[in-house]
Amino acid sequence: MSELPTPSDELIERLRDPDTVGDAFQQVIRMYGEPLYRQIRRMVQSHEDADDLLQNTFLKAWQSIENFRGEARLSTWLYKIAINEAITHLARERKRLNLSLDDQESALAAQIEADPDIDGDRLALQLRKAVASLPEKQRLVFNMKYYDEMKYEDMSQILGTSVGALKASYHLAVKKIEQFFSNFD
Amino acid sequence: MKDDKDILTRLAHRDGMTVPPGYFEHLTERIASSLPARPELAEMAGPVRHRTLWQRVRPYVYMAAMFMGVWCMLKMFSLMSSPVATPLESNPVMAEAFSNDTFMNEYVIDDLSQWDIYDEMMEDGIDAAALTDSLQKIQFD
Repeated sequence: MSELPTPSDELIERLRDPDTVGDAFQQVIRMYGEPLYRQIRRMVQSHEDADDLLQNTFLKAWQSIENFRGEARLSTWLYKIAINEAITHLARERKRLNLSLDDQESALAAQIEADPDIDGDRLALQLRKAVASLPEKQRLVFNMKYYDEMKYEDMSQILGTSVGALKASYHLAVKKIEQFFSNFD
Repeated sequence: MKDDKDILTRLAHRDGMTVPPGYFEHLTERIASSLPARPELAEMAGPVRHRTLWQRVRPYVYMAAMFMGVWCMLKMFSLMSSPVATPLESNPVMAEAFSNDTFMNEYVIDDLSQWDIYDEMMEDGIDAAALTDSLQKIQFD
C-alpha cells in the first residue's frame, strides 16, 4: 500500500457539476474503495463489517457531495468519514456486547486468529494481533502511518490532532509492538 | 520472532488481509448501484446566471447613499445648534430699516417697556433711583 491517490482537477470539477457528478463519484469509488476498505478493515477486522462500513462511507459522502467544494482534499474528506464510521461501529459494538475497551481489544485479536481471509503469513498475522492490542487512537495512527504510509500532515487533518502528538503516538505504538514481539519469544 | 526489531521492516507494510475472490473487481458497480438517486443536485445548481453591471455596483451605491445621508443629517444638526449670524449687509431691506431713524424711534425704541429697562438695570447692579437723581441734577444745572 502506498500513499493515497490524488484526484485530478478535472475529477474535482466533474464532482461539482450536477451533469457529471454521478459518473465522477463512480470514479471516486474506484480510486478510494480499496484503501478505505483496508483502513476500515484494520480497525474492525471482520470483512463483513468492513464491507458494510465502506458502503455507509460512500453513501454518506454521496448524500453530502454538494458540501464538498474542493477546499479540503478529497482523500482527507473520505478518510474522515470512513474513520468516523469505524469508530462509531466499534463503540456501538462495545455497548451492544457490554465490553470494556480492553475486552474489545482482546476480542479483536481473537477475531484475527479466526479470520478466514488471511494469506497465511504468520508474521503479518502476529503484527495484526499486536496492532489490535493497541489503544484505539494509537491503532489508528499506526495503521495510517505504517500500512498507508500517510504523511503526518495529512493524518493531522483527518484526525484533528497535532503533528507532534501523532509522532509521539506512533512512537509509542511501535514500542508496544516491539514489546509484544519480545514477549512472544 | 527473534529479530523483532526488524519485524516492521521485514513485513514491508503487508497486512496479510485477503478478501473474497472478485471483491474489489465488483466493488464500484455494487456500491454505485446501491446509492440513491439525487435529482435535487441538478435543481440546486440551476442555470448559471450572469450578474448585470447594476447588480454588481448596487451594494456600493447603497453604501455611498447611506454615508451621504448621515453626512447631511450631521450638517443639518450642526446648523440648527449654532446658527451663523447673518450680516446686516446681506439683507438690504433690514439694513435700510435700521438706518431709518424714524423707523427705529417709532417701531423699535418705542416698543421697549420702561419696566423692562428698570429690570435689566437692577440685574446689572445699577441703582435706578440714583440714576434718576443724577439725571435731574444735570437737567437743573
